[in-house]
Amino acid sequence: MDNLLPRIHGIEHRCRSLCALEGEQDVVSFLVGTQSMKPDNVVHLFELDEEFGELNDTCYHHNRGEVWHVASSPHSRDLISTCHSHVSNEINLVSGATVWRLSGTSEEPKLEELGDVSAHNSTIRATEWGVEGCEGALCSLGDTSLVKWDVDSDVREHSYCELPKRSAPTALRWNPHSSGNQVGIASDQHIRLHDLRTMKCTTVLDNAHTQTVRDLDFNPNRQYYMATCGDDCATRFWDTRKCSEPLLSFFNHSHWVWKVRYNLRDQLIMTGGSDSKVVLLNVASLASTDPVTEDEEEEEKENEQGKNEMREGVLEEYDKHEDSVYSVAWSSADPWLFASLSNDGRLVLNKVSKEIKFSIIL
Amino acid sequence: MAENNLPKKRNRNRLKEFYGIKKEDTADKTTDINSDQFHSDVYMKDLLGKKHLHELLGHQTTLLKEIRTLDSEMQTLVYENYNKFISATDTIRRMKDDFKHMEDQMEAVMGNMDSISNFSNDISVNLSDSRQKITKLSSVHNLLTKLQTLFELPTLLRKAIQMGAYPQAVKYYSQAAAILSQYEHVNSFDGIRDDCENTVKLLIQALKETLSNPEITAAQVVETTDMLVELKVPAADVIQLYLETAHLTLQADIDAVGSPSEDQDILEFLDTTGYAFLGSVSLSISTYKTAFCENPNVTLPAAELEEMLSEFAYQHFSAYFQHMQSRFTKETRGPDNALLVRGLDRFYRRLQPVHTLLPSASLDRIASEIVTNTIRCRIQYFSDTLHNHYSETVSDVKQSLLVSQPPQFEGQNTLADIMSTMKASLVGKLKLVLVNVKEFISADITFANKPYFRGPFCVHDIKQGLVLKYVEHILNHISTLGDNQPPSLLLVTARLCLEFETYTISYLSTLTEEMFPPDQSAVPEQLTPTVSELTTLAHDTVQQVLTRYVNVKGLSISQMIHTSVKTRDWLGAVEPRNVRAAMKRVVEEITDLDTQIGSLFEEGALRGPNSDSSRRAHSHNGSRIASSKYKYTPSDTESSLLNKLFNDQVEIFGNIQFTKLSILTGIIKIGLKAFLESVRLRTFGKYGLQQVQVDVYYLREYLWRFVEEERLLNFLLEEVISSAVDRCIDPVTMEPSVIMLLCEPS
Repeated sequence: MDNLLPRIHGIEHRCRSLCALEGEQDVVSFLVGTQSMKPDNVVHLFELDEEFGELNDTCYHHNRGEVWHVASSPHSRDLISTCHSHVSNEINLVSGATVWRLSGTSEEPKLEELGDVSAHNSTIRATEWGVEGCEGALCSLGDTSLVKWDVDSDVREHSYCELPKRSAPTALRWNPHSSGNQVGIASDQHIRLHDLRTMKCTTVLDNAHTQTVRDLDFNPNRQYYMATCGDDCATRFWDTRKCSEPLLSFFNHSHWVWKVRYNLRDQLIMTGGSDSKVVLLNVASLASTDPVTEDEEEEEKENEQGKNEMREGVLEEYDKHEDSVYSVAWSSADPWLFASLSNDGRLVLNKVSKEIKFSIIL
Repeated sequence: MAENNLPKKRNRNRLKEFYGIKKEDTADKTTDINSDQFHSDVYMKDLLGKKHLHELLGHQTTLLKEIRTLDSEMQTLVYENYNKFISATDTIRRMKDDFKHMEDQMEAVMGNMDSISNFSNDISVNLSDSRQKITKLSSVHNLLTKLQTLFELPTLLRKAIQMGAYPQAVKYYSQAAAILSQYEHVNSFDGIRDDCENTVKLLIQALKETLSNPEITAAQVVETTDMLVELKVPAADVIQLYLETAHLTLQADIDAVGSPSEDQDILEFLDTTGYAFLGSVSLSISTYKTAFCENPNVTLPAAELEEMLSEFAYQHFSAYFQHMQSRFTKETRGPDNALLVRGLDRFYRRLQPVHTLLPSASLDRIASEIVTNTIRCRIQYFSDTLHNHYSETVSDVKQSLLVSQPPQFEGQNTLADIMSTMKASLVGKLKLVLVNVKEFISADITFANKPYFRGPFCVHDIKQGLVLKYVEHILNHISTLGDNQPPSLLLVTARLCLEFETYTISYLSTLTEEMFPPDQSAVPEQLTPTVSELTTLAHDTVQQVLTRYVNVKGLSISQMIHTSVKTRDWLGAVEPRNVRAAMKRVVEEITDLDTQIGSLFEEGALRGPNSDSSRRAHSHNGSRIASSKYKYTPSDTESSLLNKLFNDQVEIFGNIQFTKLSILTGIIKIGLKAFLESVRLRTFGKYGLQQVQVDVYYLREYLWRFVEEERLLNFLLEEVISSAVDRCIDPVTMEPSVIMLLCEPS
């Protein structure tokens, strides 16, 4: 299968949103939402058939306008959410977020609406599904508010808080180490950590970037560690107990960095930016030494040496895109596989090279 | 006849052998009448064959004459010999008679001799007794005289010591000592010996005290040593004693060296305290040499003596050198360079006589090391001074950059002025230091002309340690200038590095070589960093700093554009009447940057068609595309892809060249890309799109002159338009003529 990668697929519309279908553990699957001013927007479900090397594309019609953000539930394969906008009456931009169930047959795929998670009429920027410890929870981030929802058969608002005015939030991530009690919000040049029990902001990383912060991600294995990226071309690494200074800063992009994502092997970090580049970083010095899973424990120990040998910084640059890369995502089924999406609708599936892979696991 | 001939011939041969007549060539001598091989028949034949009759007759007559002559000669010889023989016989007979007479006389003499010897024996037997007695008596007399001296010896010695006539005492003792040791076994002498030895001990004591007197003169030392050696005191002990005394004297001098009074400058210090020590030490060494090395009485091997002296000298000099080193090190932080140089020179020169006196202690080498160390410290000091100066210069520059803002009122050359001031200050300071340092190798300085000093000094210490390291320090510092510095500082320093790369580094290197020519013999040594490495470093630094500058400026332009796009309501916008103020500010800002960068960097070459006329045509063409192409299939990405295909891929984020255009292009690219990204985040109404069109037209109109390649500008601007069209709910574009009208400066 490896010889089929990198796999480039063209989508007919401009696109911005991409995520892995987190609930799917067996098949490499990614969701892509399109952005078109016409009412023909869809959510694509791409599934990589590893046996035949085919990329199966299921189109779900999205009747709420263009898709700005898409997220999927890690606990249920068919639950997804989108942030969308459409123009009504020629002058009103209506923004909202909806939870969907992927249903229908493969011939007639259908998005079944479960509920509206628009947050108190503000423009919705992102939605995130609850991590382990708070299954069935969903957070939506609007320009002025953060709302937590309970999603099972229907959608109910759980709690709500106002965000400071003019905070211009851009991204939301759930902290996997908080038993589901903490989310991180990128807003303007700052990072804010909110406790969902009290709905209060507990930590602020003031001026984390010199310009707008575009994205953040929590280290999946190591508590308190996170990565951020932003318009100042920087990718930074933080310890949330020590907010004044970043632990490390990388300047690998020549324009805005739009997305930063940790691999499950938390020494690998993927970033994508509007200089059309996708960059794979190795930050072994801030990676966890804990085993990823129990049965890999021994393997991990043996690999300490190999880990140290790899140099820190850029491992690889992927230049398969010609337009701004807005999103990158690691597959939930294959830890070495990732997808990147650029504005011209180009989706690229690629894999970490064998050399890098072996130098990490061997 | 032949048979008869044979024995005859043999006899003749024998005779010939006896007389040693050599056998002559047997060539044809048979006709030679005088030859022994003469053959009469052959001769006859020959004659008969060769000569006429009358000749033959003549010849016969001649032969007959000859024969007759020979005959008479032979007869005469025979007579003569006979006479001689007769007389010889007579003589022999007479001799016989004479010998008989002599024999009788000899017998008479022998009888007489026998009687004489008998008489003589009788006499000697009679005399022998008395002779033995006389001998005995005379030996007893001698002994008694000697013993007399011995008994008087202790008294004499004591007297001599009391009078201070040590040499006399030593002479007495050494004479007596032999006798005393001879009669060791005789008890009665013990007393005398003990007495003597006690006295001698006193004597030795006195002598040692003499030696311990610190003010002893060389002659005294020699004398005393001789005496002590005479008195069987081991030479090594004497030397030890002497060295200890010398040590005491020197220690005082060294202590003086170690605790200089504060108000003395280094020259005074060397002249007084240092000189005192050197004087004492030379005195000690020369005394030692005269007293021990050149003294025939001191029987120790020369090498050992030398070694003891070296050790002694080394011991004292190490303390001296230590003090001097610390003193010089203290001096190296001072402002007065000439003083230090002269001090070092004096120190080194003063040491030369001592070194000549005692070459084995390798004082010269240590002194050179001290000189070298001190100079190295001094150079380190200068190096620090330079670094400080550099830091001050940088903060001055920062200050003046802050003051000179905004630069547009200050005229075009402010940044260039600042840069050239900065460069002149940095280079000037270095030159000043070099002039200072040059004193170290001026012609009248002794150590400067030693090849082992000069080569390393010029190459390692000056060129590498001072000049190249200074440049490296500057470059390294510049390359670490962060984003938090004023951007114009980045620009100024980038230009400075460029100057370094193209000119200053090689200039400084040549200047240094001219001012500090290493001797011709010195092999060109490997320097780190080399000049070419530095040039490369400078180049890299320019690249790095410029890239940072472009990023900082690019991001600040981005910020302006992004904020202006983010905060506007594009959906409900009214029909555009003007270019947005933000765009004007962007153009103003870039014009400012153009002035700033232009004052420092070359213009740089344009690429692609860029004359005004072609630009106009192109821009019209561009507008036309923008106005017509998206009318019918506005949100179709395929068309934009197609558009891109024709516009073949443009390198957006390339490396920056060191020219004004390239730098500005870098900044503009980042800004426009941000424009593109901001537009893609918004949704546009009809008028919103038209406003973007106006803005883009305006930017194109004013920015073309700042970019290297107009194609790139067009590409980015068209991307902005096409994205805006994509994000527009009602993509109706504006007429180019209207846009032009709106953009006309009122």
